[in-house]
Amino acid sequence: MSYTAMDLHAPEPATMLEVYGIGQDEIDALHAWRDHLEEGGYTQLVDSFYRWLREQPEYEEFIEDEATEQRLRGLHERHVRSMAAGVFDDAYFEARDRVGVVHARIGLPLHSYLGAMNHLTMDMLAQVPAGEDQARILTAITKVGHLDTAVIALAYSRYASERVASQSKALLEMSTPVTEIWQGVLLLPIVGIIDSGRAQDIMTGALTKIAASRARVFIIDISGVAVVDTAVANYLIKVTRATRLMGCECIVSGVSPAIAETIVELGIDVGTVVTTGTLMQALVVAFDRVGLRVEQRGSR
Amino acid sequence: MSPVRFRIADEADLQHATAEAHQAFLGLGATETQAAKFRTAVSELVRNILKYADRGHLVLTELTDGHRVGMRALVADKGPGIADLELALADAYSTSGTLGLGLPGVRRLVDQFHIESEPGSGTRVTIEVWT
Amino acid sequence: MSLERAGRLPMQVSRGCIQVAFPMEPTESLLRQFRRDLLEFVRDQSADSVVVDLSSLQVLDQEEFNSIRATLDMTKLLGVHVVITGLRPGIVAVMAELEMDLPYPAGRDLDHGFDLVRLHREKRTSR
Ligand SMILES: Nc1ncnc2c1ncn2[C@@H]1O[C@H](COP(=O)(O)OP(=O)(O)OP(=O)(O)O)[C@@H](O)[C@H]1O
Ligand SMILES: [Mg+2]
Repeated sequence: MSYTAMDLHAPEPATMLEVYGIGQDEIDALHAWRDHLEEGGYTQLVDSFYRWLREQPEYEEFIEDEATEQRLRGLHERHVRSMAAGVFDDAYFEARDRVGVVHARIGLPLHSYLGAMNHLTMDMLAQVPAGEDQARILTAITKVGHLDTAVIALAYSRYASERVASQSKALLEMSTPVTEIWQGVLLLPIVGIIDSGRAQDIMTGALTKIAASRARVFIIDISGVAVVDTAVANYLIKVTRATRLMGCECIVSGVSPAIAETIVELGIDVGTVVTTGTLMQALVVAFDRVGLRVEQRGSR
Repeated sequence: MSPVRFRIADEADLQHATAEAHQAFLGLGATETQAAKFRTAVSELVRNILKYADRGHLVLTELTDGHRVGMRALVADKGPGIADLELALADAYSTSGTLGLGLPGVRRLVDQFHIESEPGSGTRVTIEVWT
Repeated sequence: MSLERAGRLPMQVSRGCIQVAFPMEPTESLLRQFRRDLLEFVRDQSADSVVVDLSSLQVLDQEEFNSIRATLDMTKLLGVHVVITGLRPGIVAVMAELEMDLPYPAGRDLDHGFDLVRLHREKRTSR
């Protein structure tokens, strides 16, 4: 995946460099700084950063053990090294983007990330040796610090909007349309996730419709349901029980072999719930219950 | 691929994380049934976090032993922990009035199951599945 | 995939009823294959019933019993009527002793098994 393909609104690397005023002068300055850092500067930067980080509340929450810290230290040094290397190609932007997505995904607040970024930049500025290049290097580091911050913040906001998008898609799938497909036969196809709120909707929707239509059979088709864990199975068993109390038989259709295996291995006893692999089988049962038989024309 | 970590704090996280687990295992060549079982196991553990610990995280790691591939899921929280593990792992034991099949069920669904819990400091469950 | 297909355990379907024999000397992997093959076969055929012949069973340990029971339960979830046949007296005695139950209609032999399927169908349509 290329840096730009991931988000239409993220500017091209060249544009970003221009906006942040990073050109050959800055790159030369960074190289001068890099040569200086080779004498133990990287280790000092990493050490100082982790000394600071250990004091932060986030440290406890996000860094579980020594091994994680060691791994992150390595990544951190690579990060600083690539800033000093001054090669701002696609790979550079992709790497920064990934860093942003990873931190957004683990739920690190953006202000915490930016705080850390700020701390690192201050440390880097303190690592600039006195001399005729000093001012140029300070400027270059500041610009690159800001550039990184921007790319990472973009990644954060993109991650957030993707999540919103996938949530609203999930919401769309959340309607629970109960349809009377034949006199006395109701069908509710469920697509997507069953969570507690939706289970409630299904229950009320189903019961109202059963009462209104005096249905004999209620088919819930779960072939579009992503997971049947104990909670989902529990909801389904409850609905079945409730429909039965209204004098209506419930059939759960669309049980795939994968879901059948999962249900049995979980140890769920579906008891008297009638289940079928396909909607077609469920229809045959339903028609049977309401006293209908479907036949090929002319077969008798 | 390096480990992928997800925060778990609400039902949307549950959906997102289990979908990723499913996708990741399928991507390694698992069958639909294997992937469905893994997804369901992760879903149980993540639901327990939401039910009992409020928040926590999931880490997915790809595994290989040379000729087979698999996935590991670490599901951890810093919630109240479990006082009696043996009881919690028994079929039909629940402190919340539901089926009580989550933990024992997960154990049956996966190849490798490990749980650590300390009352007051949290719960860590590690599961492994292989193709 | 095609290799797996080639190795599928023998199963046949006639007039909407699947007939399958439990494998001889079931190893763990054979038990797994039996489960997968049966579930896939049920999904792919439009059958309303399955007769599982268990006459090949000579001994039965807890593991094997659990696996058979689970496979039958899974098959039932796919919406087919499950009938078992051919359990030997020795096996049944062990099952009774250890309180293992297979809650499915059982026939003495295949013919009896098919009778049970027919009875089930008649009962269903006469309602
Ligand atoms: N992450 C956790 N933190 C604290 N307690 C837990 C955690 N996970 C499980 N438990 C305890 O272990 C018990 C058993 O868990 P299990 O998932 O098997 O059943 P359940 O959640 O009660 O019911 P079900 O999952 O079938 O709806 C729970 O009732 C709860 O007391
Ligand atoms: Mg649970």
